[in-house]
Amino acid sequence: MRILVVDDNADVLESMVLLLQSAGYETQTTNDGRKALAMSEQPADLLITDLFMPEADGFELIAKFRQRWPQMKILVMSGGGTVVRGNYLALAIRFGADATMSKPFEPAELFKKLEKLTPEVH
Amino acid sequence: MRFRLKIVERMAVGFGLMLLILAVFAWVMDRQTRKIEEARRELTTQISPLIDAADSVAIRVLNAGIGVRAWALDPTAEALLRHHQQVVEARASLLALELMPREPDAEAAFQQARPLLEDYLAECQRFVERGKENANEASEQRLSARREKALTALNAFTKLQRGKMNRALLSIQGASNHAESGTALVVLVALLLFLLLAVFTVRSVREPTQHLVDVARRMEGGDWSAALELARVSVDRHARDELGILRHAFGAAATALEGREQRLKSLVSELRGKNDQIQAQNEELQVQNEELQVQGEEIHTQNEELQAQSEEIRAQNEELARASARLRGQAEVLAEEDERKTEFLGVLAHELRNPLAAISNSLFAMKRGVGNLELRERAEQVIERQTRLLSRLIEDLLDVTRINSGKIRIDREPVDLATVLRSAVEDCKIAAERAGTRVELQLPTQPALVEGDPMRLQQVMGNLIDNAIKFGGDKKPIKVLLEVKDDRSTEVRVTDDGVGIDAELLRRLFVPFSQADTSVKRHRTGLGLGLALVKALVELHGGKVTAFSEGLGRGAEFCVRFPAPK
Repeated sequence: MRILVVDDNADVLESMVLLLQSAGYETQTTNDGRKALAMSEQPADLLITDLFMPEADGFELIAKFRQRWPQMKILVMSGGGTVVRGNYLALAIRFGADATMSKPFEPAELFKKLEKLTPEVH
Repeated sequence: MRFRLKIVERMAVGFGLMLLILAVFAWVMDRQTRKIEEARRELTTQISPLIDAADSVAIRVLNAGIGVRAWALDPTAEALLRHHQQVVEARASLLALELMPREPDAEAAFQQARPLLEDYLAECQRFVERGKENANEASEQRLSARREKALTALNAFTKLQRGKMNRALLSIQGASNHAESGTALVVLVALLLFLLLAVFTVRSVREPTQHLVDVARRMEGGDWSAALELARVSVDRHARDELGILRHAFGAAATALEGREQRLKSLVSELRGKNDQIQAQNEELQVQNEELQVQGEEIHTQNEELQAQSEEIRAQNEELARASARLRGQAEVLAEEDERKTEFLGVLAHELRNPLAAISNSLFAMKRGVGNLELRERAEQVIERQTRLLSRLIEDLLDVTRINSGKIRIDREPVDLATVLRSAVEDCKIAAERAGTRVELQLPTQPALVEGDPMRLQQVMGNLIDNAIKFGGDKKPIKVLLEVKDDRSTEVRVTDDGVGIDAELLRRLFVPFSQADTSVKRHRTGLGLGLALVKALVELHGGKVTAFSEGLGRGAEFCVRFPAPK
């Protein structure tokens, strides 16, 4: 299963890749949400994305991906914004995300969620 | 109301009586006059002419006698003629007398006288005729005797006539006397009556008039009692005449006036009373006024006191307001600081997430992919980097704390900023490349000496350049300029052409925990301590740091100046 990871923080992105690859997943990354939006065909089976990014808004990404590729699963991982309060994770669900996680997370949790989201693959 | 016209009536009566008397008098006078007329008539028609004629005869006869004598004395023709004439005349007059009617009682006397007269005259003629020679004294005496006789007889007749005439005259006289006395009587009577009337009228008028005058005088003098008395007496009692009415009217007028005067008097006394009242009230008011004045002054002084107090209070209030404002300002500042600190803590917490997530993931990956060397290496690098990042963050944090509590120390040794900058630029090379930009360094020919801590100075420069890379654009390179001024002070300018700083942030740029943009659109992570730290460190070195920016999207320039080393 291919997973697209979007996060503006390079090391976070790198660590995600390492994590996923260590678990045997195929990964694709971009640190710029615009690039993700520009993708013409479904890039992966699952999207893991941060919410608060400078170039492209995570929420927009979720909404657009959900619209374009309805069967694609979307997992949100976010540490929140600096001044953002409120339930941004719930908001992400409303935008169309399938599941959410907050950074930092327990990697085991991540894998559990992945299994739940794509049971046919596992 | 019928009333007698006392005065007019009386006057009328008087006049009437007068007229009556005059009428009577006139009638009487008329009778008398008639009588007189009669007498006179008699006299003129009968007696008088007779007497005249008789007298004329007598005179003529005498003349004839004289004529004879005259002839006798001077027997001229003229004398003779004259004598003739005289005799003729005498005869004529005798004839005339004869022709006149006579009364029977006088007739006899006349008849006696006539022949004598004729006889004489004839004798006279004969005397003359006889001529002078015959005329002698005796003849003359005889003639004269004849004459005397004739004249005596004539005289008798004349006497009779005269007697009649005298009687007539007497009668006239009598009538005249009667008239006189009658007139006198009438006049007297009239006078008397008039007097009486006058007296009565005057009396009847005088009294009331005098009384009225008296009353009037008294009224003038102020005594109205008499006038009022008049009114009390009814009209009927007064004689019903003009004066009575006048008196009554007078009395009524007096009463009315009196009444009015009384009313006036009472009004006046009322008014006076009221006036007195008002006066009394006035005096009261005056007293009250004075009291009020006193009170007013008291109030005034109280007012002034109050005003002074009010001023005090106002001043105090102002003070309080100022203090309040100050406190508010301070509170605001504190609140702002507090908010910033809270924000900062939020940011801090947030900033920790990513490094922790990266480290956690990397560790798990290492454990999972135990045989994968590449994976392990990459994971190690991530952990290393992130750990360093965390360290730096904590150091920054601690630095700020230390600065705040004044516990930071710097070394003081001569440092060439050129070296510092070169080193800082070198350190940032990778970051610059990754950001797609490069740093241009411009150094002076001479050494740029500064007294300070090399490590800290590097920290400062590194921070500024880092920021420039972070917030600078990728179009133009970042310029770092080092200059040495004439006074041996040094200046470092870091210029970028990036997002710029808006005026609002420019103000709080060096204040701790403020960021260029604490919203979502941040380039890189950062706690916002950098510039605060830069400022503190620069100032510790005795320098000054300033930032310039024309606004968002117009880049920024940071300028640091250090004083000349001692």
